[in-house]
Order: sequence, then structure tokens, then C-alpha cells
Amino acid sequence: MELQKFTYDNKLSKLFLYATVTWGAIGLLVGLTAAFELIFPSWNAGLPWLTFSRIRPLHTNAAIFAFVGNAIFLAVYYSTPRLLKTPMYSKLLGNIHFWGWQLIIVAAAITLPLGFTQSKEYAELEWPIDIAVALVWVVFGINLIGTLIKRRIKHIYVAIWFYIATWVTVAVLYITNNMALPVSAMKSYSVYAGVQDALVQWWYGHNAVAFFLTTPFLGLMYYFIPKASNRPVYSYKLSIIHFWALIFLYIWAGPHHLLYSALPDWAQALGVVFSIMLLAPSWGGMINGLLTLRGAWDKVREDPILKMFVVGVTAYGMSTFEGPMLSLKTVNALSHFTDWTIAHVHIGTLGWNGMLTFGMIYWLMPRLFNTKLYSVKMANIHFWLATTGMLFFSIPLYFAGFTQSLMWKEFTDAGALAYPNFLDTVTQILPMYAMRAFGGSLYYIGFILFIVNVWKTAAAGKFVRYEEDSAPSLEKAPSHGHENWHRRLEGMPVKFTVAALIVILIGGMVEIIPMILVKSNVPTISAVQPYTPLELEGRDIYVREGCYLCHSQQIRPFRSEVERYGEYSKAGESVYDHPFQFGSKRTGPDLAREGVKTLPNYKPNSWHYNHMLDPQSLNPESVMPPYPWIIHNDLDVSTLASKIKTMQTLGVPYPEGYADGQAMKDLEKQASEIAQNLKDAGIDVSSKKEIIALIAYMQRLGTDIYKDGNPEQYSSK
Amino acid sequence: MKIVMNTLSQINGVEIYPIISLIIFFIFFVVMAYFVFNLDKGYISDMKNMPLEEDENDSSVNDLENKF
Repeated sequence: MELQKFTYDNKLSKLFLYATVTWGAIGLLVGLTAAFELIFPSWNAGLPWLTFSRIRPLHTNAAIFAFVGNAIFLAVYYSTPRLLKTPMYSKLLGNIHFWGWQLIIVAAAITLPLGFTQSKEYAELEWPIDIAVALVWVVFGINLIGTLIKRRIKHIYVAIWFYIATWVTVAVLYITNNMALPVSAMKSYSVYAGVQDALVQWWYGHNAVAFFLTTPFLGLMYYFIPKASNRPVYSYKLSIIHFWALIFLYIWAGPHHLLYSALPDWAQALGVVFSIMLLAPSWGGMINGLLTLRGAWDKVREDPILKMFVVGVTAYGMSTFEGPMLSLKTVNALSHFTDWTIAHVHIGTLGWNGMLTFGMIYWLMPRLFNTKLYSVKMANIHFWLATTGMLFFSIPLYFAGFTQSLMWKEFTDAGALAYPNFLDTVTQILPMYAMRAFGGSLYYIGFILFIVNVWKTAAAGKFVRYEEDSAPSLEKAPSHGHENWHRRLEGMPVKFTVAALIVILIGGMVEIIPMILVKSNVPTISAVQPYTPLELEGRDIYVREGCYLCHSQQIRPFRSEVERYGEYSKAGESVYDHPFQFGSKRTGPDLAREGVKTLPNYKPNSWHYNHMLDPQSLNPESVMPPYPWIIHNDLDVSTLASKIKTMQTLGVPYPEGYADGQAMKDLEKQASEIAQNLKDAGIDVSSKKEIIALIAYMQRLGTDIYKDGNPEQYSSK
Repeated sequence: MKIVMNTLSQINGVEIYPIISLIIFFIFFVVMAYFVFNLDKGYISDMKNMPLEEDENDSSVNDLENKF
């Protein structure tokens, strides 16, 4: 058989490898800083861009899209050509992909700490960067599918199916969730509102975990574990079944992030059922990964790469067992809004994504640089630091989540809340926050060893830019006679991609379409009115500062929550919330009814003023960072008219022509009233400051259905 | 919750959504499993060994053995 010769170019693999290591170091350091800020809230030194709520999105985005993202591209650019016996389709597209992605990360690293955010978790980037992400993603897709088309192998190995599913699904998810109308160059409003926005966001959020943190890493696992152990995958049939089952089921599971929220019950039930079923294909993948190492356990004892793979795949098994459990309504009632979720996701990222990435890079370095790894011993120490770091990180947070949730729910014999002061439940878990920061530090020390090892290995060797290989052309590739549908499908990459797309769209549409119908059918609560111009500006400050990262605005229908926060949240209350601000974590108390004067949590304007300036002066044990700049900054009202008009386009019923003139008059009037109220309380502040708008927004929260003093009437409708 | 449930009940047959989705998945899964278990062994063996094959025919100028 005539063999064709061709060359693999390792340049992009090397670049993605370096990017993975660099952004990993930065993303983890930002996370560690955030962990310490939760123990020492004054660490932000009064600087906006160093404050927890501004750097937390930077940490999550850097960890997911920069560290894990570059690791995915490294795996794809290294393994795809070798599995398909052809170089990547286009070097130019590869370079655009690499540099475009790094520019996006730099843009994120600058804009997120500056407060440019859409306030949707893991989708915080503002619209111009979103467009760049979509374009670079398309470039990546063309390069991937182009490579598939010019391959020399008839059938496509399972790792590449996972890459294809990743590409096609992330494209659908990212575009759908980021639909927004621009207000200005760096500000936009989500086209969805309230419950609908929440459902789209968590459909995206959950599937970002599925198709960015899971499927590409399963592809990575199916390539690098066989390579590192020199053994074929345990069961190829299992890999086919678990691939299709996984991508089919994952897409439905998003609503489990919104249990007991104002989301319709049927959607919640759908999310739970599919989350439980998801356990099977997830564990199918884990079993397949671990059993690939059968007969090689003697190697696992000595080889740090295999050790990392084993712990990584085991962490995948743990978090995919925990995920379905957390989606059970009874467990979720306890775990949601607590640190339990943080522990859960870090088993996934530190264990599954981190360990697989480290293992892959330790395996690649000697091969890319034609030398031995600088220090196997150092890699072993890294393994132990990473493993113990991950456990020290997560186990205290499980306790923290459990403890705090039980304290929230505890009643005295007399029927009152046992811990009516939210802060008591925070101080109780601070030691666990300290242990988490310790665990994170261990993990980071391990990462420093990893950097040294990579650096020294690269310095000791010589980069192997080109590797030659040969294979028969595709027309002459061996075949196996009669082919069934799946084998034929694998032979047709574009059709395979379309099949994967259809599979994920079925779940997406069944979830999303009824929600669009719901929106047009939600009986508007007549008492719920659009925000005033000043409140709208205040809301944008709330979004800019990332308040939603520590404060939810979603009271669940539990006695303990209604007692603490007031009447539970209704779907009709958030119809003008573009974007929604339900939040997913309560490091501080829920704020859904912060403005209701008759509730126990109500605080006067002066309290909010002093609290933003210096939270510890009011609550010495508070972990809230100070926000002094909100006190000092003048409110920028230059885009007010544009904001009102954009909201009108999105269906918010401001009167015709309101944006031109009247809106500003109303804003000034409300601002002077609040400034006067503060003055009466002994605080002399200009009505043009940001704090005035923020107070206006806070005092509006949850008040609409309390206007006539009978909020329960809306429960029966 | 009732506020939304009552609304949703106005959408014709909304309660069928979860059931339809389960049925779609079940049929999909059974058909797929049937075909997968009927795949021929030679093909499975070839596919399994695909990542390992490249080492055997590796014509790279570099020795990939004992790199660790």
C-alpha cells in the first residue's frame, strides 16, 4: 500500500501548553486571593478592582476559559492530527485561534476587575468580547472540521467525537445565553428577563460545565490515558454508549440550579430526573478511564502521570455522583446557596480538570522537547500537594455548607429563628474558610513546582517543531466490509457534527421553548412596576460590583426563609429584571425584599451609606468588603436615555418618549429626596453620588407586592 | 409556584413535556445500544488501538521511548 508522508507541526501545541501554564498560574492566584479576602475583607485596600466581587468572576473565567480552555486546545491540537493522520487543516486559522483566544483572555482580565460585566455567571464578559469569543470559536471549528475532512483515517476515534460535541454545543450555548442589546460600548442588557433569563443562564451554566469542563476532558482522557499507560481503552463499546447518552442527557439538567425558585415545577422536575439519569453515562466514562489502567497498577505506583490521571478520573466520578445527589430536591433544599456548591465544583476543577491537565503536560513535555522530564520527584511532590490541597479545600467547605444551612433552618422551641442574625451563621464557618485558603495554598505551591518542572524541562531539551509520519490516503484506508449506521456516521464528520447538534438541540428546545411561552403568559402582577431611572442606575452599580456573587435575590418557599426574608419570590416580580439577579450563593443574606420596611431586615438609608463605606464599623465580624468608591464616585448618567430606550425595546413599559427629558427629571427628584433623608440622619452627601442610586435600588427591592400590605394575595393567583 | 403552574396549565399539554423527553431518550438509547452491541470485533479492536498505533509506525526522528 502506498504511504503518503506528512508532518505534524508542534508549534501551536507548545504555545497552548505555555498559555495553559501561564493562565493557570494567574487564575489560581486570583482564586487564592479571593479565598483570603473572605477571611480578611479589608484586603481589597479600598481598591475596586481588587475587591472580592470584582475578582471572583475573573477567577472563574480565568480558570474555566483560560486555564482549562487552553488545556483543551492543547489536547485538540496535539491529538487530532495524530489520530487522523494529517496535519491540522490550517496554520493560519490555528494562529488566529491561539492569539485571538489569548487576546480575549487579556480583555477579560482587564474588563472584569473594572466592573464591566453582564452579571451572568461564567458569562460575565460584555458584548464586544462575546462577539470576539464567537468569532474565534468559529475559527476553531473550521480548523477542526477541516482537519476531519482531509484525514487519512476512515473512522474517527472517540476522543474526537468529544471534541466535536464540545465545539458544536458550546457554540449553541454561548450564543443563546449571551443574547443582549447593547446600551453603550461596554454595557448591555440581556434580552431575557427574570425567570426566563435564569433558566437560559443555568441551561448555559450547567452545560458549560458539561461541554467545556467535561466532554473535551473525556476526549483528552480517551487519548492520553491509553498513551501514558500504553494500553487501549477498556471498552470501546462503552465509550460509544456513554458518549451519546452523556451529550443527550446533560443538556436537560440545567434547571436543577433553580430548584424551589420561581421556575415552573415541570421544568424543575425535568432537571432532576435527567440529572439522576446522568449518573449512568458519567460513571460509564469514569469506569472506562480507570479500567483502562487494569493490569498497569504497578506502574501507577511509580508514575506521577498515571497517579494524576487516576485521581483526576476518580474526582470526576466523585463530582458526577455528587451532582445528581445535589439535584434531588431534598438535598438541594439544604445545599443550595451554601459553600457546598463551591466544594463540589472544586472537586471537578482542581481534581478532574487540574489533574488531567497536569498529567497531560508532564507526558507531553519530554516528547515536545526531546528530553527527560526535569524531575520526576518534583512531579510526585506536585501530585501529593495537589491531592491534599484539593481535599483541604473541599472537605472544610462541605462542613461549612452543611453547618450554615442547618443554622439558617433552625427554629427555637418557641417557633422563632434560632439564628435570626445572618452574621452568626457566617462567623461560625470562618475557620472552615481559613482551611479552604490553606488547601488552596497547598494546591498553589504544587502548581509552582509544576511551572519549575515545565520550565526546566523546556530549557534542558530542544523543541521538536516537526514530526514526520506516513499513512495511506483515505481512499485506500482499510475498511471492514459491511458497515452499520454508527460506523458510517463516523466516516462522515459533518453529518456526525449535525447528529450531535440535533441530539443537544432536542433537550435545549424542550426546555427553552415552553419558557418563551411562559413569558408571554405570566400574569403580570399589576403592582410590579419598572424601576425608576435612579433605581435602574443603582441596579447597574449593583451589577457592576458583582453583588449577586454573595447575595441572592430569590426567597425560596420554606418557612425558614419566609420567616427570615419575607414572602417568597414570585415569577411575576422579576419580569423587568434584564438580567435576573437571583444569585447562586449566600455569603451574605438574601436581598430580594431588602426594601420592605415592615420586615425585620429593613435598614434605613443611613445604614446602607455607612455599610458601603465601612461594613465592619456596623458589624465588626462582617466579611463584606468596603466599597468606599461608591460613596465618592459621581453617578454617570450619560447613558440614561440609552438605557431607558433599550429597556423599552426589550418590552419594559416606560411611557413613550420618557427617555428624553422626563427620566432625568425624575432621577434628580428622587436623588434629592434620598440626599435630604441622609442629611436628616446627619450624613451630608451630594445627590449626584453613586451611593444615592444604589440606595434607591436597594430600597426598592421586593417592595412592589408589599404596597398594599398583603403580599400573600399573589400566592393564590 | 401556583402562579406559574396555573399559567402553564394554559399551554396545551405542557405536562407531557417531561414524559415526551423521557420517551425520546429511552428510544434513542435502546436503538443505540442495539447497534453498538452488534458492532464487529475487528472494527472495535482497530478503533481501540488507534491512539497506540502511531507509536508503532512512528517515523519521527526522535526516539519517543524512555522519555520519562
